Amino acid sequence: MNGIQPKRLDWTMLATMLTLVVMSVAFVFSARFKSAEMYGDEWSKQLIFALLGICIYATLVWFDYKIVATLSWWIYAGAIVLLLLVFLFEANNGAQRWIPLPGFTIQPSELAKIAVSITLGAYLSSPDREPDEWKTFWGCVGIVGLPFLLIAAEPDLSTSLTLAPITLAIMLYAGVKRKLLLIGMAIVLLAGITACLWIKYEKPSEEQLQQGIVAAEDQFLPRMPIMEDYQKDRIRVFVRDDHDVAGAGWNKLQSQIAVGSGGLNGKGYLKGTQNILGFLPSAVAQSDFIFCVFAEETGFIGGAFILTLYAMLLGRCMRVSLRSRDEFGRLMALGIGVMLFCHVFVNIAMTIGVLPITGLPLPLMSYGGSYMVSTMIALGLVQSVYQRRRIR
Amino acid sequence: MKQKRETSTLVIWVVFGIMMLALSFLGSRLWKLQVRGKSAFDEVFQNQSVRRVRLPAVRGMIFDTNGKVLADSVPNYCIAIYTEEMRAPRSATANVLELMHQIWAKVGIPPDVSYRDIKHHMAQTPEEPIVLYQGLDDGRLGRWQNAFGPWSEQHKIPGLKNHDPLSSNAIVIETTELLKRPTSTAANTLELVYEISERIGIPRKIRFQQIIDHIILQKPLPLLAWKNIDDETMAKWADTCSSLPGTDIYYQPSRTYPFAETNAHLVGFTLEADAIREEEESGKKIHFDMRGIKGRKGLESTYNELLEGEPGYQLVQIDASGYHHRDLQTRPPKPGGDLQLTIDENIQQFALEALLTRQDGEDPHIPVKGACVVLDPNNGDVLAMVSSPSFNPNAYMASKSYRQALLQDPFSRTYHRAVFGQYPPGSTFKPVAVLGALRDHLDYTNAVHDCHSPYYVGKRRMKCWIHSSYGEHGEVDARQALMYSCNVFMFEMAQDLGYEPIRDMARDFGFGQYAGLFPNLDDPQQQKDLKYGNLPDKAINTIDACNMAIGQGAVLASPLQMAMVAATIANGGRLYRPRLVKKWRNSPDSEYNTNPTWAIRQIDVPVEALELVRGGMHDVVMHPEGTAKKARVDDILIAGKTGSAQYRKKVDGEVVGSVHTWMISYAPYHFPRYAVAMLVEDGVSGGRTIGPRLSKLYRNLFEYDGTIVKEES
Repeated sequence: MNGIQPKRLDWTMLATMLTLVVMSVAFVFSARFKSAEMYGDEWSKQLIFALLGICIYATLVWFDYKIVATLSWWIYAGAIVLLLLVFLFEANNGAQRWIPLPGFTIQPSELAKIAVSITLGAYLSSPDREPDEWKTFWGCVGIVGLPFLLIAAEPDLSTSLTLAPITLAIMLYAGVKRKLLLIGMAIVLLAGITACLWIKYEKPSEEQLQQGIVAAEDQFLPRMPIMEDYQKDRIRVFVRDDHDVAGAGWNKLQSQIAVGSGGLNGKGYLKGTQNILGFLPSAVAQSDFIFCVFAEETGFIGGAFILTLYAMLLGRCMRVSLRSRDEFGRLMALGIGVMLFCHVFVNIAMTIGVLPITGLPLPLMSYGGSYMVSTMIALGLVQSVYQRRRIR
Repeated sequence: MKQKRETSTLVIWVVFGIMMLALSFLGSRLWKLQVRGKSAFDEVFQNQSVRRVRLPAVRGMIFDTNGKVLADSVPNYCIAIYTEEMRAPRSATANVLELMHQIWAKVGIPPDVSYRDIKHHMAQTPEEPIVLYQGLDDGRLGRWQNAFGPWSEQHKIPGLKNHDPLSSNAIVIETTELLKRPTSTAANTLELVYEISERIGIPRKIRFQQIIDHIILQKPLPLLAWKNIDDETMAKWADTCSSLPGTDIYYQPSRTYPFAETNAHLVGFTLEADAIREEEESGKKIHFDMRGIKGRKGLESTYNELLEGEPGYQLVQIDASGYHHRDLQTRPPKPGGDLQLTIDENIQQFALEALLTRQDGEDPHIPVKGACVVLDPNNGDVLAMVSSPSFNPNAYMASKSYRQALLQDPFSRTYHRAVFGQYPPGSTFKPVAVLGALRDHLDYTNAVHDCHSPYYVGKRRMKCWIHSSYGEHGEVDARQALMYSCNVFMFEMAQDLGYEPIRDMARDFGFGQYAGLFPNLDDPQQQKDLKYGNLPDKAINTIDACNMAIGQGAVLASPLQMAMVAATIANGGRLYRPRLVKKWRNSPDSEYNTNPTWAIRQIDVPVEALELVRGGMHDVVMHPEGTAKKARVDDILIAGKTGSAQYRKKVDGEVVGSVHTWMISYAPYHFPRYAVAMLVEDGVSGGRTIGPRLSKLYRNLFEYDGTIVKEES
């Protein structure tokens, strides 16, 4: 059943995606814009990768996604090999996350997330699988666990953690040990909240005191074991508004100021002073902080528009999941939807100071070829499922 | 199976619900931050940014060996104006003042009206024009017209009738035109400066251009309108100006030297540090710099890094126009470390006092040019080191005119003669020459030469100093040669033995080498000092060898160098590195580190040779026929050697001969505690110029340490 049937495509989803891509190119240009004489050529690279992504997207829509289910173990193996290859290359800023190729670099962890969605979907939707058995449970844990450990070892903890909600959603849907999962979730949530509160009221370390970070009056708890100082700092920045605004809190403050100064209407395209004056970290303004540039220049109206687009995209993914003709399509669309959601939420939340700062890019918006293409692959798979949906 | 299907669908709906909830939450936060927050914190967020201001640290102290403070950090009180509070429009008087200063800059001389006149005019008859200049001469008029042309062509200047502000050699401005114009921040600041100046009664120090520059470049920082104000001014300020908005007392770190002139060359001084602008400091951008002070001479400069400490910074939030909005975070500066010197301030004063004691026949109108160094021969500690004439570092830092006057001073007051002075050592070199000869030829102790006049080396007539007064020393041995300072003996010795033993010994004594007075604190071995003096590698002929033997010709040394010679002879041949810093610490809270005593080398000299030279030096002072009888102090045995090094200098284009008078000395003779070198430029002779001064120094020294009882007088 290969081929594209225009009447059966989800045009809304496609249009949403293309709008986001166009804005991405425009604001990657803006993020690198310093003056009429000084701007980067990143926007053209972004455009090229977007076009490449659209080609792959079309190809995936053309193929019946069943072939993906058949090849799921090969895809999984390929992703693992790529994750291992990463360790052959030199560390960049202390992390080995990329495979450098001429002209661009790829980040295998992005592909690994899609591979996990596919493999879990295929594994759980195979007809002889009994979902509520321990064997199935451990099978799922094994499928996720290997890439999780590899990505965490890069180290890229935040990316590896996004595997958790994907797996959780798929397993809950398939009915694998639901009670256990729900209880586990509750415990993790509770532990997380406890850790955050502890860190909030924990005394700063000697070293930090020497650097001029002043302990607040309510910081009286002893030092929490396990976590490293830099990890605590990220959380402390997020739970305490005024923590070390010169050092660890600098990006958060600047990003908040940028977004906040946008106001209702924004400062206008190419007029974001926080960005142009270099208060946003220039290395990541166009990637992790693209929403910040966008919100500064287009204001709340633009920000709300972007949020609406993502809501539509995610809603459409869920719709595909509901209307898929088989279990595999359903699981894969659900996994991909949750994956995209994690990125959107964590990225925007960190720019407006709701979550600690991590390195998760914003799907379809952030600068980065390999991420653009892998997002397109994911959405192409979803579109492929939709095209072959059940007809009521 | 049916039931499972339904719950599974429910999972999708729940996931979808969570997504939408989360995105709505983001939307609401975005609203709060961008729209609601914008109205609530409009001032904070609109185009605001954070700037980093560098704050200088408190400079460390310099102490003498007893803990007396030689260099102290004190606050320098300033009257500051906070320009961010000067933005509200003020009266039109500010406009008039601004225009007046613009015209002033073009005419080049102060206007004929005062602030009081303008205020009075604006209060009484603002509709009338006011005359700024009257009866200008042609030169000034031409200058004004040249500058006014381009100025008025560019834009219409309110307050000036555009092409004719002149009427019969006077410049007139129309104050009516200025009445309704809003005043600029710079004009407001200028008016406040005038207002404060009038209330306190001190003249305005800051120029209008400086105010404009400050507003352009350093908006978030306070503008220091008067620096270094005294207590009286501060009291007046508190009485009359503290109610004025936008002005406050601000203090800058500054330096003071309690024993100003005594240690000026040694301790040095500080000046305002160069501004650091836009410097990346470990990845953190510095936007503004509250300039601190930096050591520029002497120990202040050599150990600047230690004394300076580590600057801190303050993050300030600035508003849309670039003015200070609020302070965010301060990392306090780390105060600088302290130095404790081996210098004893009392001895330092004895040395200067002795040096400045004029002897009969010295011109009282010319300052004494010279230096004195006192070392502890047992470890090389520098107990005193003074140069004359001196200057006042406190005045130097405070007054620009004093600095300029010093530049033109004919006596080179800032020249650290004790360390960097380069003089022929003259006869004070003879003990080194004799030691050198005796080390290689010990039997020369018995040599006797006849000092007679005239005396020839080859065909060249050479002189002993006594020949000038038609005398002769007759037959002298080595010890007597030192006592009489007989040149002929030295000439004969150089001819008999060659110049090599003398040169080798001089080299061992450190002539022409680094002395390591200012070693790097971390590495005592490091000798990053200036080269001391000069020692030629060889003598080109016999005459040259003879001159080397009496310390003339190419041999040069500094007073410090000669004090090291005295100390080394006193302690039996151990050449110590002169130690100036006794101990140091990196911050006022940390422990002191000791700067170790360190011998450069042990010079291997036969005991007999040493005894002979010491005996000779003993006789110089203690023998009835010695050259330095005037250096004696009752009850103390003193050894020494005089020197009178002749040189030629140009006075009013004419070459005249003059004498650098020297003495090196140590005492007490048997167990030396002090080794001294004293030099006075253009003196009479070592014995007559230096002898009495040395006696005074020793008397004070031995009274100070309790060896002799102070005479009741």
